[in-house]
Amino acid sequence: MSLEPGPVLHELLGPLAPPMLQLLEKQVTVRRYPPGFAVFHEGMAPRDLVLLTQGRIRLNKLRPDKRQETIANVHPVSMLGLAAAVGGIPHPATAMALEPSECLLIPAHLLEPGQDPIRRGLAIKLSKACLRGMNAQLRAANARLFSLVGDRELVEALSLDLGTWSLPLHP
Amino acid sequence: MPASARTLLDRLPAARTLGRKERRRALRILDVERLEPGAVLYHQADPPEQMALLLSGRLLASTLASDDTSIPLGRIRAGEVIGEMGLLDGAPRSATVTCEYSTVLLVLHRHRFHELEASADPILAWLLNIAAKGMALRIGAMSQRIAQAAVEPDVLHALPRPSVQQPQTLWTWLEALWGQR
Repeated sequence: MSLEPGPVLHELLGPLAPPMLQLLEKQVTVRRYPPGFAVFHEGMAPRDLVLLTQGRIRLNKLRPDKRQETIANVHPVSMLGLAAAVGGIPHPATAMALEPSECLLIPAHLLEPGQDPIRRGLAIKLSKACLRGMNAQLRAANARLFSLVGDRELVEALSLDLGTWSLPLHP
Repeated sequence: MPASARTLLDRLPAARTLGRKERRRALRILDVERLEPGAVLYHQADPPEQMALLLSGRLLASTLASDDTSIPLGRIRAGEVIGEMGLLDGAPRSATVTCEYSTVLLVLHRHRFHELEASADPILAWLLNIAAKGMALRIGAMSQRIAQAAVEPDVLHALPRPSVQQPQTLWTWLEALWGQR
């Protein structure tokens, strides 16, 4: 059974004034993916913020040695493709449905504030949700890098340059 | 004579998306703060009272390890936003932030943040947009490094280590490591 977008969007973004919810519901697309279908491919230009509402999605990344590596299994309710959609950079991984899955696709252009106050209020709420989601992703990425390199000092040195300083690894 | 906040804001690439009038309004809404090297902007574990946009200079974020040694975590440069996660989540500061070079900031205090949010103010939308884009680019960069580390962890280990006391070493090291920079 499909979820109604309204409550999920409220959960993600907090209370939404009726005009803001109407604007968002007009723009959001609900899409279903059978197992094995890709929500997006690595290297693809992003168009949407993807909110997984049902099912399970696997994120795979192509390594330089051409092997596919699973970097995460994503469960509802989670956002996908955040960094790509927010930063306007190609998707760093492929998102594949592992079981029948349903996503809300939120157009990335809604992150741009615009002139209209309702649109701007929505951009503020979306930016906040994206910042929270990406902050969690950065923490996970730092831990992943540490697990690969096994050297705390080295990872901290990398973080120092990348500005991922919200991710202290030390005890 | 140091450049005025207005000049610095006008020069900032991230400010180009704001019109001239909006930039002037930003200088009225946000507080201009100047820090000299060694001054502390945030103390670790303090409650979050503000976020800021760097107009010039450089800051260093660091944290204390269990043995009380200071571990550098990251640098914040002109055009970057700092402190926004504290205002979003209300969590205490995760790091101490110290001024490395003379720095000029535009500061948004917590009470004003909520006022601007309630009125969907363009200045707040702009600041959060800058913060979100900065974080997105860091994730993209991190993803590349993870991909490389998955295949060639030894390459990373073979390089000379950077030191916070020797930032030039850091840059040399990073340039050697990520030749594409």
